[in-house]
Amino acid sequence: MRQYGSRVIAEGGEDGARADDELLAAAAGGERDAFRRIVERNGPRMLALAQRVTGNANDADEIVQEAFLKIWKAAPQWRADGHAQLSTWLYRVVLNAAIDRLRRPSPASLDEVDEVADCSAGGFERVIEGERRRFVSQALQELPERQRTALILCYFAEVTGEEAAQVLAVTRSALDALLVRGRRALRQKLLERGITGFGDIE
Amino acid sequence: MTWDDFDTFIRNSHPPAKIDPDRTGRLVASVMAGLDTPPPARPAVPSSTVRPQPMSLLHAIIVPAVWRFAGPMAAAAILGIIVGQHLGDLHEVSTLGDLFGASTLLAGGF
Repeated sequence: MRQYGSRVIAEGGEDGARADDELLAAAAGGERDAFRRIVERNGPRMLALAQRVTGNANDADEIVQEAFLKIWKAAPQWRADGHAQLSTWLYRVVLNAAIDRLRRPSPASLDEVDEVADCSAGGFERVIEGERRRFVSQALQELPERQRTALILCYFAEVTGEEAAQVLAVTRSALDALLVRGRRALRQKLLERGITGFGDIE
Repeated sequence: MTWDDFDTFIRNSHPPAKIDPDRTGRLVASVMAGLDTPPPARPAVPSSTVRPQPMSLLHAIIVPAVWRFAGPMAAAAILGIIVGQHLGDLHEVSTLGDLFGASTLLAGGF
């Protein structure tokens, strides 16, 4: 437990979401220490998600910083109603920003840059990993938005099904349906790119 | 290959990032520093979207106009009074001159 002004707030565990909401209420009253604690509690998860989606640490830092500043500005209007949790809101903001960042054209495409031979150990594997990431990112971009968000949440955010359903504001069964359709569509997109290693999935 | 293998393939395409405490500390510092940055100025609302209220019309148009023209109007009024008085004096002098002239003529036997 920790004291913030007149509030005593649980540090984590099952009370984590409630603690976030109480911290945000304190932050809305101008208590900076409470907001600092929000960033400390949620920052690592958000950084990990943003970096996993974008593949770039600098982009991830920028995305997460902007997300927290948005929350600070909107804190006075925040109303925790038991359904919309702070973490749910954060996931939405960070995920949308990360997907938007993926859509931006890179400063120079790989075709325009001279190849640099990587003779170090594991160089070939890194090239393969980079290509795999690129193919999957491009295929995800072509999916319908809700299918894409559902897949990214479940594959990369490592949240539970219940949490993913809350972020998408759908029921658990609706989330499962989105995941089934999304996986099939993603597999088809990868097949169209010549990735056939899993073509025998049934 | 099963769907589980497919899921593993997708997860491995974007390997999880390890976030060390130093990086979290830098994030906290940059966010807390950003709290002091004033928000950007809000764009002005187009005047066509605002319906003027009677009092706001009074304050927006009439009062500034009165203050704007009060000085010239006062100066014009003062100038008018001075010039008017001067013209009055000239008229009196002219009348006396006529009387003297007429008196002189009468005295001369005309």
